[in-house]
Amino acid sequence: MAVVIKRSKAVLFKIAFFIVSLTLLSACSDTPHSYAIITNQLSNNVTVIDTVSQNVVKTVDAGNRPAGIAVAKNGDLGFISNSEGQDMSILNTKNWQITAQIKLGGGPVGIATNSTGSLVYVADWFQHKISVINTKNNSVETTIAVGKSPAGLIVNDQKHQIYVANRDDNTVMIVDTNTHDVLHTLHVGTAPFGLALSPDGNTLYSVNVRSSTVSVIDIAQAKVTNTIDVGAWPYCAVVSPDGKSLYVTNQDDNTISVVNTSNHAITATIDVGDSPEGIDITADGQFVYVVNWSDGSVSIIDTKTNLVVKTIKAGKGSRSFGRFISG
Amino acid sequence: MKKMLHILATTLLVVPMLASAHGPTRQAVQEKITINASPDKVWAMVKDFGGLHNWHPAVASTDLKDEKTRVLTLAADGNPTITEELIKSDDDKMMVNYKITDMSVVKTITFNSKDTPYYTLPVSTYKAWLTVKAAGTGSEVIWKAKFYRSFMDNPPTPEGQSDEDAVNAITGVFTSGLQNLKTIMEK
Repeated sequence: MAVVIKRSKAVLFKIAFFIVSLTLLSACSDTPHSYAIITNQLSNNVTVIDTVSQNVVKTVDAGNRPAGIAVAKNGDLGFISNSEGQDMSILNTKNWQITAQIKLGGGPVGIATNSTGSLVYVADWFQHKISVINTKNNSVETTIAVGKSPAGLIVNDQKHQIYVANRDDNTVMIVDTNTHDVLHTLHVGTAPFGLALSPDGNTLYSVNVRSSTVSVIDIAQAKVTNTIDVGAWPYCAVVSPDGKSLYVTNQDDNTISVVNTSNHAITATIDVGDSPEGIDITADGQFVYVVNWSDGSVSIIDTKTNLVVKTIKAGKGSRSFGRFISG
Repeated sequence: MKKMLHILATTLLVVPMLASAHGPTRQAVQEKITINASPDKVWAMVKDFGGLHNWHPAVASTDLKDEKTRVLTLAADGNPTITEELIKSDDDKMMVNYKITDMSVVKTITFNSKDTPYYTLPVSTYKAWLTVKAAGTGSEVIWKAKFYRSFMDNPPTPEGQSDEDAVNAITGVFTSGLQNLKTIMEK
């Protein structure tokens, strides 16, 4: 009897092991789901695009004038800044529910999060500060005074730093995420707006709207090492996962400048929709997503050919300022 | 902690009421018209940077200073002027892109104890694009501009200098111009 029980226990264990293995296998063999979340500032919602099928899978009502977006690399959270609503929405990227709306005040636009989504940083355009939000209890933990009209924000998890572009001061600040001290203030081009970080966390790029340039910043040296001429009225940028290419949106040329990050040469200029603003790249580096404000559309660029392979209709005033592709 | 939260809450409530200096937001205007004339014919008229007075009813004369600079004199009291610079003219895309570099001051008032000028148009950092496209057997002309209002401080704005006033002024310039272009081209 005891033997029988032991055997059946062993069988059960084997079955359980088999099931677990199967689940693990299927989880691994499944194409990982990744979504591009497009904030539509003038239609007060977000468009969700499955980056595998390249189709719209969902439209979710957001707050009042959603502009900025930050997705956590690991985890299922997206954070949306609502510029008129003066708050931040938390979007669950598994069930597409808005799970919380956190009041911030002022003019929240630029937004960034750490890789787990436990902390969110929101730049306040009007009050010249960054709010630090702890998503464990959804409260504003502290605020950090920065330069005039802070716009682009980016978190460097490796270095425990955040970077902020102060549009009306023509500076970029390096801030320590532990002490919240401003470590360095660097002068860049005129009206820096978007920021991009190299995957190794060593190089920062500030996109300078009014001088139509990109400043290259060596983070370790805390120094601007180069300035690259791009197209007219650039807005934002993203670096490819291999670190070799920088893609910049040029609002007034309706183009993307592709920059070789080793010699800073423009290797291609790609026509996209009207007034390209937000830009991000898939984790495999295969596709760049460009969000066109005037068209309310998204241009998908194949990075092998540097051609637009698909244009997707989004909402009115589509912007997606920040990191908007999950996974 | 409670005290800190209280201070924080109070700050959040009070601070938005204190106006702090920040720039206005960029505005955009786009107007279109379909014209029963060939794109080539319409483009020939539109691309002529020194010839805006030939089709825009508000422009009395165009003084081409050099091939990239024109001074428009408007058919209005005091002959206000607008100086514009050609950024690019693209025959393949049938698109001309230009910007305003200077405008005459029509009047100056005192607003919030500061001298506040009124320019020919209540805009600043103004860029425009005029594009001709084939549409059916005729053409479509798209006139687009991006700009800020001229008043750079926070609201309240002086009369006639709000974002809405700037948008309305440019919309008026575009619709009247396109309408007259259509009339001339379809003659």
